[in-house]
Amino acid sequence: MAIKYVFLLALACVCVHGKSIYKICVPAQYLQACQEMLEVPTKSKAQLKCIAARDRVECLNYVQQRQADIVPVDPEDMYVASKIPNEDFVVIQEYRTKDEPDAPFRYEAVIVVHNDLPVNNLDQLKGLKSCHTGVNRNVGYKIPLTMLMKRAVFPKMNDHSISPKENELKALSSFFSQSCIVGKWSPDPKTNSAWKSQYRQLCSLCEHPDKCDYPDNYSGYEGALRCLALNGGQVAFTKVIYVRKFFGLPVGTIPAGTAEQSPDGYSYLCVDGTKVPVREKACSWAARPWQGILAHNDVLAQLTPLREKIKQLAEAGTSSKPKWFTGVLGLSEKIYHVADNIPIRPMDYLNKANYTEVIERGHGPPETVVRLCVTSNVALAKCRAMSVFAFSRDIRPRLDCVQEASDTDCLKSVQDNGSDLASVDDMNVAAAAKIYNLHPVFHEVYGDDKTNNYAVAVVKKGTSYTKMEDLRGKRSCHNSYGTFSGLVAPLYYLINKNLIGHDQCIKNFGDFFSGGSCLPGVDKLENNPKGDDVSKLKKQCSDDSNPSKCLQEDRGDIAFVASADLSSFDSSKYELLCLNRDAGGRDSFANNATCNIVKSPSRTWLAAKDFLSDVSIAHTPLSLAQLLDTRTDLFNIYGEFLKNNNVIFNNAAKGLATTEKLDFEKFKQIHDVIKGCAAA
Amino acid sequence: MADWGYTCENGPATWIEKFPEARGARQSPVDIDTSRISSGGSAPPLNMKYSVNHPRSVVNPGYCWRVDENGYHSELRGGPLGKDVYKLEQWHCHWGAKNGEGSEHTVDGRAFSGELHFVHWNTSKYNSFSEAAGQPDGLAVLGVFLMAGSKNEELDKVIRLLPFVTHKNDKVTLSDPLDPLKLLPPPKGYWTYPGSLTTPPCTESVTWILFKQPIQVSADQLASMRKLKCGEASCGVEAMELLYNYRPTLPLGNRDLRDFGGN
Repeated sequence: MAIKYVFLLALACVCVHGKSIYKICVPAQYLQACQEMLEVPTKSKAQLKCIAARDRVECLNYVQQRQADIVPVDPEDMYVASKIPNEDFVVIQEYRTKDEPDAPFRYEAVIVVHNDLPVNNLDQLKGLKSCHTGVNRNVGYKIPLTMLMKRAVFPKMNDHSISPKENELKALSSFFSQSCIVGKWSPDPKTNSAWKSQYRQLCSLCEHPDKCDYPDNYSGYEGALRCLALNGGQVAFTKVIYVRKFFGLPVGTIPAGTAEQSPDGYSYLCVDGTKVPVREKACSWAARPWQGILAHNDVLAQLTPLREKIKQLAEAGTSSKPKWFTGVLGLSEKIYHVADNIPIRPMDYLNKANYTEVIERGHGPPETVVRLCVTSNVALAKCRAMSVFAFSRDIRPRLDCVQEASDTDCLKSVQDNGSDLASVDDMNVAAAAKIYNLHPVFHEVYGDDKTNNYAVAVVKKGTSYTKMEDLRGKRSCHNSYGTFSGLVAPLYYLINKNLIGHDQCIKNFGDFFSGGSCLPGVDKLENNPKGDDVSKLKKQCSDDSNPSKCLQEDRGDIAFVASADLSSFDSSKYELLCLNRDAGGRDSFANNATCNIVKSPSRTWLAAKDFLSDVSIAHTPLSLAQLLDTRTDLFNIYGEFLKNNNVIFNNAAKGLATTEKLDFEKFKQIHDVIKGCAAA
Repeated sequence: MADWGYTCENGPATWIEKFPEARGARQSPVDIDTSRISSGGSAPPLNMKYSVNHPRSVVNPGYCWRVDENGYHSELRGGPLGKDVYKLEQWHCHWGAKNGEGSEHTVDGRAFSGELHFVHWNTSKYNSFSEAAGQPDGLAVLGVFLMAGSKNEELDKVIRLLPFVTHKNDKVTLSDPLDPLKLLPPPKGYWTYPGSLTTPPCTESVTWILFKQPIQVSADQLASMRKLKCGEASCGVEAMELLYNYRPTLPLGNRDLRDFGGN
């Protein structure tokens, strides 16, 4: 026994002069904040060491693999952790609020009704006017749905012709007569507004039914109670602490305050149909547990110094709330009381609050899934990680992953209903859509503005060109042959404006810029199989055929590049030619979204017709992208993954957006023009 | 031509001529209309025990692939089966000409890409499979929907052998250990109703237990099934490929369709 203990101790930590060193895992972006945290003096002599991982998802793997010892997490991350094979995680500390340091859960979901509401079981909620915190939120939306769908009177939500989210909205709007459920119902703005008008009774109890979004006086924890008290609501879904505050009752360490309403007219409605006055102890139907710290099992052998250290750090940061307080420890403005709990496995911790059921909620069997096709083992691993993560965050349909040997096999798989989504790059979107009878659903967006890339034309400031005609006989620099920005966009532009003929287009292209060009790769055998004379298009190339160099060294008068490449040009010396505007003109680099040649296709995901609606298919990837938009620390789906680049998404991507039909039609048109000319 | 099959000449519509039981009021498969289901309430849990490590036979009987368990020990009990204990006799598969069709049962009118049937017989009341097969409570079949998606490694042990049983009456031995439990979806509840065999003679002897969640098999695995042939190898003329082998759904009538466990 003693030997085993020593062995565990050795595994758990490195002991230097009797002091313990614990490795805390942090998302790479908070490594510096973590180092700053180590400088904070504490009474505890336990030492922490910062281990940087890609994000929290990778941190969970690091702890499981013993590359780190602890990581602060949300309850949803505990769910993700419990799905890692051979995991031995334990929750060793809970993060509670200063207001309720003794509460077993972070919040408990309750139903509040008027005392005189003639209801004695939950089925009788049918037809009532309901007040909610907002869409997709825990106590006001997820928990009521999880619990109500168990009841036979609640409408079925497994209609596969509409998406899971629409099934929820449809069921709620037919179950309740009027409601207020504000927020973004869909990550796609068009779908969002279509649903808001189709299921308008879900907004009719709001302060601004036409907006049905935050801020609304009848949304949020207290707003739901206001909706109940002041706006004709009959039932409100909110959490205990706000009920007590709203009705002026004492909460935890806070004494009774001023009431917005007298508590006398209101009761909690319990799951068994009984009512309990709001002055008394609440009956709740599910709870969200606290956030906390996850450790691997070996840490238990030497737990106390670590716990003390974390508590002292939390106290040290409470007043000033430095970056490490939130970024590294995961504490917040309200939640900073660190409590020791009896070490417990994450799944047991969630079950205790009935929260696993809430995380795993479905829509009735068989559940819809959306199958993403990938071609490598590392992409499969990433897809599976995204699947568990999105599922833990209530994003449905569940993502499934299919592996095929190649990109074309994936496209074929989508066509044959073996998967639902496959990606293509650049102009392939038009060709692939045609060959496999597919259509685009969403695509990557880039940069801080989260837009498409654009094909742009760069010219030197002070020159006189304002439209393409002015450049006849001049010299040009290009991104390489085969790229959209370097060849396809300018070539299409010239043909489309009748500036060159569409027969022998490469030759005509060279003739237009008769001063000579640099179109890298134009003379390669695969690009010029007939061995035509393309010397004009090579004339301005030198050792470095980069278009920015080409322009800089005055080997060209114009450069055709992508908006993503503009950072390699000096914006004080160069500007853009606005070929997309009829009048032409010039503008600065910053305005490339309005001054360009044409929008570029980016990596795009294609779906087949008929099998599952596009709204269903796109909902999961778009919702995941939206959730992670500001939280790359949770899961950085765009960056490097296990030391590989461009896995599923390009490293440069910043988000995902629904593909507009109009853009796709344009890409198809460009594809047909270029294909026609290449064949001639 | 075979007595029955899935072609125009001998397909499900013609079965009733030779197999009068196929006209009955307790026929399978049926469409599971989820709005018409009555909750089963609390039933004892469904329990299965299967021997993993024993030789099995993979057979092409001309209308599917089938795995014979060769009499090794197994047990199915609980759920809607009362006190009786059932034993696994064989399991086989139904599929369609393309992904998205091929399951025999459908859910709210929607078909899956295939369906596995694990056929068990009641050892508490009867002495043999053939005796049980004629009795109203003689058989219990576990049905598992197949959805096109990621490759199923456990099922692949069988799929790998299909090229060796291309023709009717071909048979090979599967000696790798195989765990039938790994072919069942995670325990997410099931539907149950009284029905029949879905192939002639369509005897009305089956308690159906259909798992609500599908399992996934790859499109390639489904394609391998479609390459089986329904005739014997003969000189010159190649037999037709068994592109599909599912019976269309029949009316549920006044039978009770019950729902057990979870959503």
